[in-house]
Amino acid sequence: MQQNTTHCTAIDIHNLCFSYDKKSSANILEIERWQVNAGERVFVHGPSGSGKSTLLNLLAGVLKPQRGEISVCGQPLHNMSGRQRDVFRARHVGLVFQQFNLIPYLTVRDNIQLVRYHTHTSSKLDEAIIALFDGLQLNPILMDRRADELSVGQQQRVAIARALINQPELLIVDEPTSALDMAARDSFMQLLLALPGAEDRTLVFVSHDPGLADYFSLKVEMQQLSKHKEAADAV
Amino acid sequence: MLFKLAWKSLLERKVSMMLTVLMIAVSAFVLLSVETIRYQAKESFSQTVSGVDLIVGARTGQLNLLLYSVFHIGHPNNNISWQSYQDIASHQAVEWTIPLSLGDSHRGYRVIGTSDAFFEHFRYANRQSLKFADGRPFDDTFDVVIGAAVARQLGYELGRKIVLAHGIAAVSFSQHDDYPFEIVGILAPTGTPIDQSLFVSLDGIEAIHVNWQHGAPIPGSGRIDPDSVDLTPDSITAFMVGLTSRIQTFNVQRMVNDYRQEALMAILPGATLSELWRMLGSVENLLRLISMLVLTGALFGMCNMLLASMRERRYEMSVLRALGYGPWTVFSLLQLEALIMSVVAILVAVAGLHLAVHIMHDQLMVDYSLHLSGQLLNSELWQMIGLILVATFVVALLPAVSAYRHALHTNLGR
Repeated sequence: MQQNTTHCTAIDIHNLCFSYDKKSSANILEIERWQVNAGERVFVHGPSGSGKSTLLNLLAGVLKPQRGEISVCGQPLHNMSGRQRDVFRARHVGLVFQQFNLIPYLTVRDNIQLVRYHTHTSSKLDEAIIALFDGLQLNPILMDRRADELSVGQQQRVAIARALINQPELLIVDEPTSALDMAARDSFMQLLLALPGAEDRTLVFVSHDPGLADYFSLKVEMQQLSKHKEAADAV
Repeated sequence: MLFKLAWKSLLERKVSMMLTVLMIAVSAFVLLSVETIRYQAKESFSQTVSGVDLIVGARTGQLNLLLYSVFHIGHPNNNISWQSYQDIASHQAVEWTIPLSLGDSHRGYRVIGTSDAFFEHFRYANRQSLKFADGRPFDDTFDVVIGAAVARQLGYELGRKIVLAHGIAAVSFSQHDDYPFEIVGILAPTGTPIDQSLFVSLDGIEAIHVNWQHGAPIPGSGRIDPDSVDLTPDSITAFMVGLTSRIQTFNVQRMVNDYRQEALMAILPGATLSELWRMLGSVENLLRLISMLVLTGALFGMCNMLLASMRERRYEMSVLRALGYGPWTVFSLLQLEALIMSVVAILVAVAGLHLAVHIMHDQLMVDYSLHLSGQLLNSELWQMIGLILVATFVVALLPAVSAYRHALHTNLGR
């Protein structure tokens, strides 16, 4: 991972084809070439069913393309086994979803401790969490609360803290603001982009809300990225 | 962490979890109880007699002879003449004999007429001889030695005079009340039918039946002085034989079976005991089968509970996948939850078993001579517990595999 600096390519997709149905030739996603430099902030935009979520799952290594190459942070995901991709995801990718990021009956601390391969000892982990909470304007008192006692906005910020605890090279955020109101949305975006280490981290942000595009250096229309529109429309 | 997750997840569904655990606990309790009783019964059963080479009685079924001579159950249909008894007892291969004369009782407990040889030669369990908790063997014609359970149940002590009843019903109309017996000895508990019996000399049995004919006193005969008559019995019910050498067993058995003067039969107690146990075995297997079916039902209940929970937990699986856990982790999580429930249920069942045994111990000892000995958790019970855990794993495969497949094909963020 040493070569993974701002000069390297964070995402490199070549001739990628993906379909949920192996027998069908209609591909959900078909990307000829897509490269993103490390440290870039990418805004992926498109209507629902355009394959945004599928792209995220491919980048996170949950799904595997039928054909083509996909490298993330220099790792060829298309050549890796499911287990290798799971380990890769645990170490290098942070994920935040629209909702249901936390396990409701665990405390906030337990939710964060759930991350795989965290290298912190438990006292160090608390320190790391407090540092992240500080940046996210979360009260450390919340750590011992059950996750379902928190407001939606707080839950989203805890999810960000957990996604960042392993200092991933790639942070993938999927519609995190759709459950928030306008004011909360803007402050959430500002917090997210102002977090320490944000300059070196590649951010892929997926939303159908074009109003958020101004926060990003690179904007991608899903329909343009994936050339296979008919199949996408059919979903 | 996985354990914590499984545990908290179960606590989150407390009510259905507790019902499931209770269901498994009850069925595991039934299974373990059946197993314990079976084991302990077999233990006590096979220990009722040992060191006796042959039992001789009038020709009848093998089991019948065993039942009335050893277990004091059922009725002999014929006696052995004293002449034949003496004849066989004097055979060169016969080292000792224990005569048995049945037919009388005391408040529902069987009275057995026998000789000193009984205390000297009878063995049970691992060749243990009879021990006296108090007193001594009978000596006088009207001395009686009582079993441990008899003494305990009726609250008898040494020196007390008791009256024997003719016949073996709990309430008898013909009492031998003109010949009271004095308790001279109380046997230590053995966990065998001996605990439930009273022992008098053959003379005693003969004395109380002087002037009786066809099971009833001759009217107007009154009490006679036992010393004035010859108390050698005309017949006995059966006798146990110890041989000088075990090699002679089959020779003597054949000799008895071919005895010309009388239709007699000799059985090997060990072989007949195991035959009897095999017969009881089918009942035992039926009980076992029923308890296993009950357990299977409970485990399917658990399976159902886990499957139902999967619906509401789909996104939890997705969270775990996002954090880099593989489908095997999800599989293990479900198995772990099943295992936790099973282990808790087994703990409850074992605690229940100990409690039940503690409460019922005396009752079982007195009513069934079932001596619950030593450690309850013997290796057979551990095997059963192992079996329950394996069954849990197998049944939990259904929800676990379904969770695995779901996790494998999950699409994050959905």
